Amino acid sequence: MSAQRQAPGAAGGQPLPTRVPAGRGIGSNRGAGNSVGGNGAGGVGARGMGVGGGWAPVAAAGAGATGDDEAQGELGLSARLMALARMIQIGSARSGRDGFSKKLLADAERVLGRAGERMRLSSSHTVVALAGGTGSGKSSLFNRMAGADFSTVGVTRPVTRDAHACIWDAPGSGALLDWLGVAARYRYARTSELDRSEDDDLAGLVLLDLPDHDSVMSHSGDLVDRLVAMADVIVWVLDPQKYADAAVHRRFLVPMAGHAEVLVVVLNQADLLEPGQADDCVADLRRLLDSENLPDVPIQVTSAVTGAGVDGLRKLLVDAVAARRAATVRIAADVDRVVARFGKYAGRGNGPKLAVPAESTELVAARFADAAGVQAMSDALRSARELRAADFVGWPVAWLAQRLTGRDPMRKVRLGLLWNELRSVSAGPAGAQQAEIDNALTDFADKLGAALPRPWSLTVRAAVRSRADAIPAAVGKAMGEALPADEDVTWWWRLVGAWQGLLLGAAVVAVAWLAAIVAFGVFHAVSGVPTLFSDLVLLPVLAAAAIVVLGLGAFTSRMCMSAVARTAERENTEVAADMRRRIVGVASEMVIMPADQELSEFRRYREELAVVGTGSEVKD
Amino acid sequence: MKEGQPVAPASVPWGGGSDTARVSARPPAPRHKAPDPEPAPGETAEPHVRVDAGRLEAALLELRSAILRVSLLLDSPGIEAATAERRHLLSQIDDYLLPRLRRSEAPILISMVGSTGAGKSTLLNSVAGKQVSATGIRRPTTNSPVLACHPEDVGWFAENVFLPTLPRVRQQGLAMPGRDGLLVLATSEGIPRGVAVLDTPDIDSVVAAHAQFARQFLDASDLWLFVTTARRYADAVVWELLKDARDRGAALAVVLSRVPPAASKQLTEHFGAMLDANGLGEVERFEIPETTVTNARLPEAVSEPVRSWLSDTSLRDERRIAILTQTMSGVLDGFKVRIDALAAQAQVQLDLRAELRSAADAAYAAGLAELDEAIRSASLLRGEVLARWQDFAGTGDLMRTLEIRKGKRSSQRSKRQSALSARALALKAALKTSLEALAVSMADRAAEDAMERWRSSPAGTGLLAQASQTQGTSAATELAHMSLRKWEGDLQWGFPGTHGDLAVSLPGGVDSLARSSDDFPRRVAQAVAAWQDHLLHLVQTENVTRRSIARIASFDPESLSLVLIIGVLGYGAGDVVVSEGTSAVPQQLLTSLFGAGLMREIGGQARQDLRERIGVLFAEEALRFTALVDAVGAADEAAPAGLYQASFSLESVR
Repeated sequence: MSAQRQAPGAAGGQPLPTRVPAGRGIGSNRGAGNSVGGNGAGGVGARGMGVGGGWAPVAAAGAGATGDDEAQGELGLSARLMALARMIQIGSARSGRDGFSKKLLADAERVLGRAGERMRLSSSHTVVALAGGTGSGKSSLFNRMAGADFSTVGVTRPVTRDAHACIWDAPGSGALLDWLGVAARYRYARTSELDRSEDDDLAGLVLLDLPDHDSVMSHSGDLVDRLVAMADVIVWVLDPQKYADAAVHRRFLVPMAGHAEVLVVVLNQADLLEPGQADDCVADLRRLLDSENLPDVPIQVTSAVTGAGVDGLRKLLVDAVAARRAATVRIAADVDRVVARFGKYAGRGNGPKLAVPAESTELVAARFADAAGVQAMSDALRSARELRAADFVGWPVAWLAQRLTGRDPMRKVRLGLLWNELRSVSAGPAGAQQAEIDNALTDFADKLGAALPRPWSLTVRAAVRSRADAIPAAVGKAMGEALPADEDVTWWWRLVGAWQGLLLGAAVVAVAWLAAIVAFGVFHAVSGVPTLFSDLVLLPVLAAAAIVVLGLGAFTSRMCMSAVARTAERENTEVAADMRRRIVGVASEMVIMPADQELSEFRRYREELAVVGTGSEVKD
Repeated sequence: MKEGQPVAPASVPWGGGSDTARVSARPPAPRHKAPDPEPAPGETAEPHVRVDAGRLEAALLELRSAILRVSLLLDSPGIEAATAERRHLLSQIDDYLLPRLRRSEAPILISMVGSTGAGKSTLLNSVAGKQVSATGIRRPTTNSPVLACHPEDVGWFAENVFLPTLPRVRQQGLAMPGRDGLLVLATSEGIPRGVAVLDTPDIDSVVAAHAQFARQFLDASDLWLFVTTARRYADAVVWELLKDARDRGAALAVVLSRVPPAASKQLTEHFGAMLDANGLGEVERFEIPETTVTNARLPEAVSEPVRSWLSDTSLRDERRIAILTQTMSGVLDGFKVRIDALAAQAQVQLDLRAELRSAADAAYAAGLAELDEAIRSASLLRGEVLARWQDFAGTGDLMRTLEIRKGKRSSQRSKRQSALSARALALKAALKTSLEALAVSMADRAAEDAMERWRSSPAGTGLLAQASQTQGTSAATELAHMSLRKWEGDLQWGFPGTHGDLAVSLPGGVDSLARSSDDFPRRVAQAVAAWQDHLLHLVQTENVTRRSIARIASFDPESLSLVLIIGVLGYGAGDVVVSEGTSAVPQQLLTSLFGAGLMREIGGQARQDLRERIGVLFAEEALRFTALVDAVGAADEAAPAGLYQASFSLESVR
């Protein structure tokens, strides 16, 4: 296929400096080294074309097929991705102006989607994209690497308008290239009988030549953005004229600060520089990259014209391809980047309260009880009870006397009505002051949410208030249930009532007898009455008896009323306690539970975040 | 550039004949007066002036002060662009138009702008005939602008005349890179008199300040010499600037440098086609081949066309006039639209202000209306109030305060100081608490609502963010504001209104705005107590009870006022039925005591009185918001009109 291909490294030119920090290569993080490729090669073919529903099954399948180290990394990654998915779920329910940023969620969704798609596709291929400004020589370098003039090179700008791909070891790459969106006519297979032996170490490389990102014909800009987001390794091709352009640094390099492991910077067109100048240039570029938090990115000086330094680049790519880790490293870096932005929604340290304090139910219920006037209700009940009791155990004589003096003209009509009214207060649709309930909820929510980070303080408040409108009715209902039965007349009231009637009767008899004695014994109105009604001796006895009976009535009344007052007080304390208990039930069901639920979501969020690993100190 | 490459032939202007017509090819806008062929005697020294410079200057000054009056302090869509535009307009007036009008015989200022690495400094050195600007392989190379002119012209660029806001150094001896941001003045006999060439920092490197810088110089210069390279000519940044120059109608020449000799024809044709397609077909073009650089200079043959074009420009008056006319009228042409846009923005600002204010006011008005509604619909007669009322009325305590008059005519009842029963006191307290709770709840809701309304508009969000920032680090920001003010003072643009006052107006932080202020409950308690007293007073002084009742009975005024409050809270709302057959409001008692008509009247009055008392408090609460709007700085209501006026008079002078 490639007729005029030059052997890499064969092209002349002085050896150019390769600025790779010691021990760093592409995708070789955490000391895993590049030795995995050998034993992993057998298994990856089977795994590569897995058609699982998502990344999780793929990862599981991968675990069986590949080396332990890789499997562990991938398992960890799949757990992280799973946690990220749940975080997105939690966040989506709370997005909006004051909540999770919609953009962040969309970005995370994209990362997740891309990760899932990439992990489902061939893991035996490593996608390397050559990106850079117009005129930096991406296509020349591409052709150099491919050993053939696949991509057009030209002097007028811009030249490349579509992405080109060159594949070493093509089998299994079709789906991957479809996913990348490289048109079939721009795919070039690099396997031919002739080259096979030499290029074995690059087997699995998919090299992309991207259009520029900075020309006026920047309809290609979106394409570059898309492919830069999808490739496993990105090689930025810069040149001495353009290496400090804002277009590449602002838009691409700065946002990739966490991706140093899958980045290579190439300073192309070294043939235009003298050796000393090249050093100067690389030093300046290194300074720029350092200032952009990319100190570990290798800088490779190349010249696509003379072929100098292409070997070094090739070596970097060979390492990346052999490790077969670039894809997961890239995904991990993407996840790291997006997750760092989730951190602010989790609060710092272990400061925030993660559960509703135990005593808060009582506190809220106490405020509700005040709003519903439990104390007042209890007082009113007691008054009513005493009034009712007075009908039975009261001393009718005193009542009669009071009535005759006319101090309480409307007393008679009131009693039945009042009882009904009291009974209906809380049975009605709204038994508590909405305003006081609202104030109680606001205070509670403020206290609860004070320590929480931004969206959560609001959602907790919303949860606390979620059923505010229904609370007064619920409180009223709870109180209604606690009220004693309607016609609650104690047995001893009737007994005392009978006793009072007896006393009243005795008093009447005594008075009548007295009157008879006075009439018959003193004035002799009628003769022939028995001495029983006319004997004056009986007069003082009867008078004394009448006084005693009247006094006894009054005394009974007084004693009984105070007994009634005592029992009423006791009973109503019980009723009030019952009401409070029921209100506690209402409060915990309608306020504490929703709040607790929201807080547990927050807890879950923090746990997921810890799983995804922000690198920040999230403790419980 | 690497040595050993073949030296290309001298650069030549391509694309047809090159003459004066190129630069001034844009036909003057029809409304312009044609250049006066015979200038008035007094104007001989300023041959290019076509209009009364004095009147134009006055109009510009008027415009300048109108622009200064515009305050752009609230966030709104496009506010950043508007702020930049305002600054830009001012810098154009201050740095270019006014100096040009006042000193029209000053040398023509040619700004070399372009991409980093295009060889601007090399070209300047070549034209000047000695190294005046540093060259190098590092990008960006030029950090400080270098202005090169003939030694006798240097007086024109002293600090008090030219770009007064920019510090500068006079170059001594060889090229010395100045500190970043300093203007380096270099003199060379090589530069023709009457022309000054300015080497500006790049427009596209990572150093963002450079692009800003370059644009400031563009605003101040008479002619743009745009330099780009064979590798860059299709860059988006390049065309952004070229289109900007076209839209302004600035005089422009284009240099394509570093052209590989082999591809020269192909490249110039392509670039030329691009220029044509973008409406820049008529500009002067130069081509500089990729070549050997010695002593930071191009071979003389290569730079010669540019140099001779420069000396041509300085020597030939008609070209000079053409350049000045084109650039100045280009700037002034754009003013009408730009000023209108700025005026529209200023109007938007005023509208936003009003909107923010009314948002806060509306939130509190809604809260007050809701409070009124809650009172009118007897929703207060629930819970504790109702229980206490029933306790008070039901046990006969109420009736006990009623006294049947013994003597029919003895209206002068001894005002015995009856101690209120415990139940009456409890009722009174319950009424007070629930009224307070209602007011506090409504005020809280209104505060939250107002906050919500503010947050839903970018202006409100921005204002709150500003305030909280000020809040957070008030000391630091105070300092920052002071230095900012100083800096603005240096720029002579003193923007009206600073944000330093925000800290003063909000003691509890921005989030406290979402709640009522701390002492609000206390003030509500006072207001409610005062209202209760007011009702008591009403009962005591006016004969409110019905005559038929009053004839036979008299009430203790305290109790009567309690009954009245219950009536106010519930009467007229229809029966508040709490369950079948019973009513929380003692309608019969009320009508029999006061009479239906009177009850309605008194009830209305009392409610009105309460609403007014609470309304005052709500207004105070709303003031916290509106005070924040005021704190960002005063707004000149007449600013938009002033702009339109100034723009109109500028047009009429031209």
